[in-house]
Amino acid sequence: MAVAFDAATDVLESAGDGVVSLTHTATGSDRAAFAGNCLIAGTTTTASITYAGVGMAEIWDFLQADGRAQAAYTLAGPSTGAQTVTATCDSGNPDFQVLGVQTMTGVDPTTPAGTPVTASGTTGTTISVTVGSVGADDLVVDQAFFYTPGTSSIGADQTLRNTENPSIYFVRQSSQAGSAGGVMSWDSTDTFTAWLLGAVAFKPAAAAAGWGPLIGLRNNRLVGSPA
Amino acid sequence: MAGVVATRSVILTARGMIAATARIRLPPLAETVGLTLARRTTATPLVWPDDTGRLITRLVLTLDGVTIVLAQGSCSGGIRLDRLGDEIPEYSLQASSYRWVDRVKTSVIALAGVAEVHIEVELVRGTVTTTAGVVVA
Repeated sequence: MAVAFDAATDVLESAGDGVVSLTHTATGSDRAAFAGNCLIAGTTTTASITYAGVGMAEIWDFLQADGRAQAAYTLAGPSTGAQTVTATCDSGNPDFQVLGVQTMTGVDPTTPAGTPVTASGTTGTTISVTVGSVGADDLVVDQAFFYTPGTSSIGADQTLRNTENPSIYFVRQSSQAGSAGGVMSWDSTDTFTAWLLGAVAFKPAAAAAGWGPLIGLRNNRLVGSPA
Repeated sequence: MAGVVATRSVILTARGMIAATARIRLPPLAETVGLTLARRTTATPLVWPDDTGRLITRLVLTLDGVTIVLAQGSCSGGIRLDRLGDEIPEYSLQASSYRWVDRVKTSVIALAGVAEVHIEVELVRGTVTTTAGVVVA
């Protein structure tokens, strides 16, 4: 069964102290969570993200000139119901901080995500990353943090999940069915003068085993149903 | 388009004190709720004059009678400069939450029969005198 999108929540804080929380509600079975944190704060990056008090696993954390940083974390089996997700910067006082969370269902509980890819730059009218080894039942999730004076647009097969516009910047999270491949892209009518992009594929849970032949004893004789 | 739908003065002088707005009914098309706090600048020296004053901020949604803290942040006093050296006149916190209903992006506000928002600011240390605003978009 394919990984399915569940819910999305985001928060933007400006001129805060570097610790921000939101309440996210996940439902369904074989759940997984993706959380991303984007900020501008000199050399500050993300120290941690927790989901219902459980530490999430960092899959990327990178910093660009002028203090732009973005990080992403994953967690298999996040708690259901309304839960607090908290992002903490490794030192305080970012100009702004955006925390976005997505949850999905039908995810492999042991290895929820594949190998992440990231890229950054200061030019181009198209930005993209290509996630490798994407299966048709995967769900590819990305987080883009960019500035462009033009009008930006999302890749054709991507669905916008979270969006915030801190200061002059844009923070976007989207997802794409694995059947559409692993390319996650954003276009602009003008140059992306600063951009950081990361993506990862969430992997499907193994299909439940079907019933095998039923075998038992009746009147001390071995009986069974056809396989 | 974001708009400030309510404001109130905030004067907090003892740790643990909380200032809150009344609950505000949200229109079904609202997707984002937020709060603002005026910060001190060179031009506004009487706003939040205590540099040590620190607050926890909360955006609180009540959806069909069930209350959740949609977002929580924190901020401290003093003149705050951005990375370009400009004074930041305002602290802000805003949040959105969506589910997909029949593949249509739907705000949790729209999913509720009655949705309300209020904001809370809690004093952690020092003293704080400022103005708070509730933003709905």
